[in-house]
Amino acid sequence: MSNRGKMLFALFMGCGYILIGTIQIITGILQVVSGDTGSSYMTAVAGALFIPPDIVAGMILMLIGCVFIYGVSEIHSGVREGIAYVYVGILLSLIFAGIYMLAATGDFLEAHLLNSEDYINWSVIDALRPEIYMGVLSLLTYLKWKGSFELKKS
Amino acid sequence: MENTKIRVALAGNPNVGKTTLFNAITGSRQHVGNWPGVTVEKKTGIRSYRGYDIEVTDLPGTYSLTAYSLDEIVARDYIIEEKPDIVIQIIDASNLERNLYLTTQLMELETEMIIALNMCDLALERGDKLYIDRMQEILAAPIVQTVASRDIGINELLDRVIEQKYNDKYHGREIGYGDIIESKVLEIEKILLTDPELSKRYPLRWMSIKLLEGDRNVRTKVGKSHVSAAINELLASIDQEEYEADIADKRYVAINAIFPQMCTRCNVRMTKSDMIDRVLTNKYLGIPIFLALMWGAFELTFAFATPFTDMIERIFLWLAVNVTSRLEPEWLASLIGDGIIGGVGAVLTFVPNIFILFFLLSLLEGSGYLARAAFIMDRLMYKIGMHGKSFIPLLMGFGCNVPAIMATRSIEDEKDRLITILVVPFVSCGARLPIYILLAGAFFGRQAGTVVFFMYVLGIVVAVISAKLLRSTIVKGKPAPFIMEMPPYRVPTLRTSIVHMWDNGAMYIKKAGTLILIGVVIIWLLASFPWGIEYGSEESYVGMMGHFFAPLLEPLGFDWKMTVALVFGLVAKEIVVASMGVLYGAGDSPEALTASLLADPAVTALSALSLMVFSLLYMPCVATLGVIKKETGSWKWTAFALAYGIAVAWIMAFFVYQGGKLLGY
Amino acid sequence: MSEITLDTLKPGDLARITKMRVKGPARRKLFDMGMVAGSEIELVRTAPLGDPIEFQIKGYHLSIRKEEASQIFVQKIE
Repeated sequence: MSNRGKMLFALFMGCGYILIGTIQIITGILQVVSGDTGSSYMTAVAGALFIPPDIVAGMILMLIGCVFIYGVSEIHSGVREGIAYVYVGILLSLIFAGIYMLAATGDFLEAHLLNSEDYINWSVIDALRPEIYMGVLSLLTYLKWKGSFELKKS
Repeated sequence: MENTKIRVALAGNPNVGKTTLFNAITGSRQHVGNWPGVTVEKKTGIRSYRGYDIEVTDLPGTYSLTAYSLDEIVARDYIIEEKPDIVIQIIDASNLERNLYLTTQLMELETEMIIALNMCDLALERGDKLYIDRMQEILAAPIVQTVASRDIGINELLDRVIEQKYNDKYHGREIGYGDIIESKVLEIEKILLTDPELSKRYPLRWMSIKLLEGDRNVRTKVGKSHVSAAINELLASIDQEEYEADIADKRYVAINAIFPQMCTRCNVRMTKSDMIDRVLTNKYLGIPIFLALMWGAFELTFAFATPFTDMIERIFLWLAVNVTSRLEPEWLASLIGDGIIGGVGAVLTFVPNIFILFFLLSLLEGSGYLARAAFIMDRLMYKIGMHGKSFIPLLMGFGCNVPAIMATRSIEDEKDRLITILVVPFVSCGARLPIYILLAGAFFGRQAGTVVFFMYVLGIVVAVISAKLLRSTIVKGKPAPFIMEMPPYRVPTLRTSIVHMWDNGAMYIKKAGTLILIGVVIIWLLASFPWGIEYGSEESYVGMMGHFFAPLLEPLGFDWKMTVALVFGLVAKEIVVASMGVLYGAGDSPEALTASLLADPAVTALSALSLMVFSLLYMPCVATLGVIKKETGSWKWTAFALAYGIAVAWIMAFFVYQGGKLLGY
Repeated sequence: MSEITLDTLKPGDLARITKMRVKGPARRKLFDMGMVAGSEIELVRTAPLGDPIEFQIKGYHLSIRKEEASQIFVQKIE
């Protein structure tokens, strides 16, 4: 896979993460300020994309997005090491997908093994977060490009 | 028939997979303890193999065998004093040059040696070529290629150990240091020879070289001998600094001469590790990524631990109910139900969190990111008189102070470590949160979140100021120099992380457990006697203590009930809330407790704030105190931590309460 | 060739150590880590906050603070 392909992928992932992160932060702020997220256009989008209101998580998503975009700008200006950012972006994306999957496992145990009151309405759909589906996207791409991330001395 | 025992010591640089190899050899038959007299961790394990009991001792990972750090002294003293049958040096195949530096020094200890060339796969994958036969010839020691993370080469290594046991003629090689140094070495050796005691016990050539290098530890070994005067005279006549530099230099010269015969290294312009580092230590992205990863670790710790914590809570609740209702007489039921089960249960609920924290810490360490965390944060930490390595322990303190203090083990310098241990208790741990939530929720309404946040910030500020204060008073001096290897990133091995988690978690349960049990029983006794009173009431000893200490705490705005709650909080801080429930007659219901707190004229918003400040700072819980004792190895410092905490808490709470009153609240 | 101190190098610069003027216990440790006269050393990067600095020496990565680096003299290799 050429660097151009990687650049396009990074551009897509970067924009995606930043967009989702922005929505997550805004809905998070709305929730803090007004107590609930209300019913705005924003919350409808957030709901459709399974984005829970969460300021800190949103900031992390934006950060991952920035790592991808940083890579795009480096590759674009001819720095070959720029793919390092794509590689680490994928890595971070996988790490956070892993964290939320394990957290979901915790919720699952809570709901089905312990039958806790707070988790009565918990279903697998609640576990689906942008970190997870974006992570799956990263995983698929990584598997496809595996091994092409090393720069040999030319 | 009894198996023949072979004693083996594992030596090697840090980050070469020593622990992984140790786990691969010994499996679960391990014992973790301390080296006598010092706080350096000692791990031993036994492996039965082909009719032999191979006892493996994991020496601390070191780059050298000078007297620079406790680790190095411990490692070399074990080899020269305990004389293990065989020393296995683990060498990172992808980093031969620096690893051989330790080899040159191990050779001088005149011990049987086997070299385990670890992580060969990585080196070969990179395109390096290794000439094993030539290497064996030059180093005059058997070489086994291993990949410890995948159990490759372990049996071959053990075969060599058994072979070498019967091949007991030492045939190591030493490196020459050139005419000037060698003539001095000979001179010293001659003097040392006149003391038969020394020459029987220690390798004389090694001793002479160390003396020339100005090694203080070896000098004390010689100090008791009658030759010490002659040695001192000889050493006084030379420029030791010059010799020290020369000897290190000659070792590397020797390595430079032999190294190209052993391998050719493939020059990869940018390895995956370099690529990762480029991003993770990026000027703009490095710190945000670090903070994000830490936040993720905490998120995971708490989210994943919740079901297990709940499970433990339920078990103890069930136990308490059943035991209390069935046991006779009543006092015994109360001791076991209220005291032991309640207290121990409260502390055990933290076990899942602690296990996960240790697991994640081990992942960070194994991946190589821990070194980067220190690298990134050192500048900041240095400014407040601490070392970059102190940052992660402090951060872990937000989860629980106990693993945080145990994590300070990665800090080599004694002073740096002591300061970190002493300031960790000011970092607001998870157990203090319920206190804030109750009080802030009851008295500050919509500002509750801000108040809780303020408590966390206050904890950090006090920790920072304390570090500065300690640096300029009791623990004088600058932080140790930052000289750290940045190991290549690796995928951490699951087994190593699990073993690490298990060892440390078990240690917490064992050490903290006994102390907590004692603490719990004492508090129960105080709360139940004199005979016939209601548990924890005003007439009990605790109540009397409350009344006794109340005048001391009155300037802070506390009445006797709050004082009693604080006494209970010594066991574990979250007990403060539970005991307030008892004292205010509100039971387990938080709503009832909030109501009765609001109804009590003795408790105002200001005294609630003061109480929060005091609970944050006043003293580490019993478990933390226990770990401080264990890690500092000193009652003096434990007592200091206790007294200092109480003093700081009193002063801060005093300023909050009296200051608030002056402002008219 | 003029002598400069290690902390004045830029990322990617290659140099050879000429003198090690660090005193105290750090001196010993730096020797052990390969900071001996004659060693080739390359500045890899500085930490995000400007200190410490990471070098490549003897085939591995080592980081030290500027304070120590300013007492190590090198000659740049072009």
